[in-house]
Amino acid sequence: MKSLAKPKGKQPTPQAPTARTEKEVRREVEREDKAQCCAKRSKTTAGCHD
Amino acid sequence: MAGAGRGCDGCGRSLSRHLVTGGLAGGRGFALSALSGAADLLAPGELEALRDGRLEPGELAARGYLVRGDEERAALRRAYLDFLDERERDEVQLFFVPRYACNFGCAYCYQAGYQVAAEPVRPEVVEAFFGYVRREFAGRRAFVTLFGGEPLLPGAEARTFLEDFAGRARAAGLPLAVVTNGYHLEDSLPALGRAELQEIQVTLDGPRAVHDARRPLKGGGPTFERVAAGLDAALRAGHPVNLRVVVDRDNLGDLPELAAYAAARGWTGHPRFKAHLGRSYELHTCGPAPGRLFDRLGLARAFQALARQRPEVLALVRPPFGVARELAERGALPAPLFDACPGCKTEWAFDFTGHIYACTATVGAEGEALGTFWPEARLDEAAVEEWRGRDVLSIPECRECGLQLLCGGGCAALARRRTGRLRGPDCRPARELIELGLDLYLGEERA
Repeated sequence: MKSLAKPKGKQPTPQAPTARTEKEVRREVEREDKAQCCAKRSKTTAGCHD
Repeated sequence: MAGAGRGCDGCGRSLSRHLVTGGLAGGRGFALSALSGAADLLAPGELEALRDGRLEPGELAARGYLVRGDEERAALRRAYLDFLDERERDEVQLFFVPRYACNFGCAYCYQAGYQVAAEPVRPEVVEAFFGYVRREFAGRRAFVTLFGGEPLLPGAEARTFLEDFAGRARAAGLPLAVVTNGYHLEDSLPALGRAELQEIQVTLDGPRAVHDARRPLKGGGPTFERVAAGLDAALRAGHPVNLRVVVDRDNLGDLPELAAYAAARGWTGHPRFKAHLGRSYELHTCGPAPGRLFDRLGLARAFQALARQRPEVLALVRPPFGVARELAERGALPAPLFDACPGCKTEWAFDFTGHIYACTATVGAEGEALGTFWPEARLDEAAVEEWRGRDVLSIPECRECGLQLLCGGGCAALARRRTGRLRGPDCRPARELIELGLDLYLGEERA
């Protein structure tokens, strides 16, 4: 079994920086950028019944 | 597999009823528990080993997959209380509909059968709305969303309303969002800017020709360019934009072209832009082309197949596939979903006639009003309680379902349409969505 998510209350072990590819790092940065504007309130403004 | 099966001999534990497993490409699988928060990728053969009780019990117990019944019941109770607390802290979304009239003639509109009054929204109704919100939602975090019909129409009357409404929202400390077809968005930005604008949702159903065919003006006429110009203007002004793309079998295949257009126009890379898929479906009445509609799983399958062929669509939209996207991207499961329906809990809808409704699925529909905020404030408390108390513990079919904490019982309005009961289930294909989503998003990480 390879963990995708730890049970609650247990923090995931940080990955060593060397294990991450440049592509992964870039994706993470892009997600962070989006998160700055979107994650504050992530509800879509309609369509929960989609 | 969802729920209990083999346990371990002698330890008093059995597989959790919240354990959900599924198969992935290449003979792999996944296991997760929305109650414990654990999720694992299973190597070929491990899924069968888990089902047959051949995996190491200590590891399974540490993940909350192997449990004692009394411990799991206690954990479920704690999680439910946490969920109720969190919902009380959550912000409330208050929709306000200034009119049901719309300048678009979309073939799939679920409000097409609504009676559209020509009368403008009265200032005293707007005043009563903000007064009601101040009284009834005091102490709650809240924001207001303008909805329709179409909330942004031209003309002095519509503009005066918008300026007044946006100013009142700011004065009340309520951020404002708007759900618009986008046709008059650019002209409306100065008025909207009087409020703290939280989000503008506009809809494009595909590239120009596709969009114009699906979302024409009433009486005919293209709309794509005006909507795109409005979206540009909103982003230039620094407002968050949420693009909705309503899809069915007729236009899903056009997503790559729309994704390319959005990238070329600078939307996709803009930090204040995001997009999501909406599903065209039958809410109140049968639509004109039911054979062209996707069910939830059909859309997920078709999108996944498209995204594998044309991965550039993922730069535009990244559907959640249940909890799969979050698992793949954040390495965490969301909190257990005891209730997927926000109606009368963290969502209410109000319209220009002074009526109060549970949500956007019911607002304006005949017989759905739960009360009024004008000319007098009154609520049908029994009807509200029916909504408010709806969750997976009060829906009989959900109570014993192993997928309950992933599905949340679905949409109350759709459940009632299908089962005749508000507290009936609107089942989501939770396991299959995760299978599709993990294959897609974990495959993307490997690519």
